[in-house]
Amino acid sequence: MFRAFALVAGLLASGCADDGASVPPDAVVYDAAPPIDGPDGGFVCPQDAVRRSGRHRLFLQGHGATPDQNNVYPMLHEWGEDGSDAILCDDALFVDDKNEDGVWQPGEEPLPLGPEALVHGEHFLVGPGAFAEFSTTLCEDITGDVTFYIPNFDVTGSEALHQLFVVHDGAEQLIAQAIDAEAGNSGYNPFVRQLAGDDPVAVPGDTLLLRSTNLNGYQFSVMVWNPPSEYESWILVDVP
Amino acid sequence: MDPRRRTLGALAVALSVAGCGATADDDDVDPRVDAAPPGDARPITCDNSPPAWVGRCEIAGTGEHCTGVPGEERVFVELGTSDDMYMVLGPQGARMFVLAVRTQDIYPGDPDEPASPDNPEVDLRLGRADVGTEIARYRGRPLFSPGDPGMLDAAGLFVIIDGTGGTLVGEQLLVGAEVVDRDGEFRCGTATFRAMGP
Repeated sequence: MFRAFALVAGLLASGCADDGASVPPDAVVYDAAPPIDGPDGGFVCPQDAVRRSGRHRLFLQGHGATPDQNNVYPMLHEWGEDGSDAILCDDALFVDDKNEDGVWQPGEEPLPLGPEALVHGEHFLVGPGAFAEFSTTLCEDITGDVTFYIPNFDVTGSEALHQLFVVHDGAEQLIAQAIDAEAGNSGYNPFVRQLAGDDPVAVPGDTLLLRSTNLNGYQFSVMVWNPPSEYESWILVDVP
Repeated sequence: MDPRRRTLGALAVALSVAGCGATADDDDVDPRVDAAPPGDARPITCDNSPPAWVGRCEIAGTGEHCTGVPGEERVFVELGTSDDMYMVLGPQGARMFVLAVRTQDIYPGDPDEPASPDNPEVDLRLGRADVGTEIARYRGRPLFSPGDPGMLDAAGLFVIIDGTGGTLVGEQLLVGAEVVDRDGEFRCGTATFRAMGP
């Protein structure tokens, strides 16, 4: 059954909007949502950005992917051909929805799905202060409600700080943060937090940035393990 | 989660060496031709900015290379032009060079906040000396501590080599360091060394 879901996911690509807009079946992939002009008039919302109201699941790209010049890896957020909700954002499909309420909750594990473009590779954070960064573009403001789902390879004693920022003109607004000091067992147990963070002031073109930092030098890595698997890292953000 | 599955996963990671970066396509690429990731193809260089020096990391008082075990007292050791640098193996099989950086006249950071934006940001880029473009990178905000008089050191900076680590043994490598403190003070430097096993 999971394979079938993965196949559907592959065929559809994914998106997270909730307006249910429909377009002709021959519509261009990723072209369902109109571009959004930024305040300077020159900004066009990228295809994989955060846009449209609703909850968006953003996958952290693996270490084997290509970072930008500043070594920042993308957050993957793909859109459906028809602009409808993405299969990967549908918790009734994405997780083992134990209570069958259709909404992911801590304790419910993801099924081995994931975006086709997700690349394997864990991010080793070796030494105190070592960090990895992931980003995407915001085309809408978001709330401060954030979920971290970050499987990791760590040991007892490790402490890692996960921080989510909105970056505007180089200035970072901290939205939410959490320290993973959970006892490790060198497994891929996920660090899961639902946080009511600070509601940022974001404008189209701002950057959503996740920074994970090793605080004390104990072994820690952010997992993205051979997708599609349940060892993928993602966050959830909400567009009001 | 099925513990057996977890164990198998961990084993697979250990066997994969580095566990990241390698793809089937990588096998077809001669790393000598163009090993730089597309992310940053800038040459590894340093202009005439105030200097930072790249050294190796030693466990204080022992002469031993740093290993990555938390708690070891790490110190900066100056690197000679023809020195050898030994890679260490991480717990999952990744090879890495343990480097250190020395500079002066910067804000050293907040000793209580390893993730503080007040800590200097250090960017280390490593490549083959004859190519000069990046094959591995470290970014972090380590705390700088007093070293020799007037100097500030950060030791124990782990540059992780992905699946290509084994191919580097015997190669002459170039490493470039850039340091930016909270006030925007910039330092840079480069060093070369010969990569040694495992």
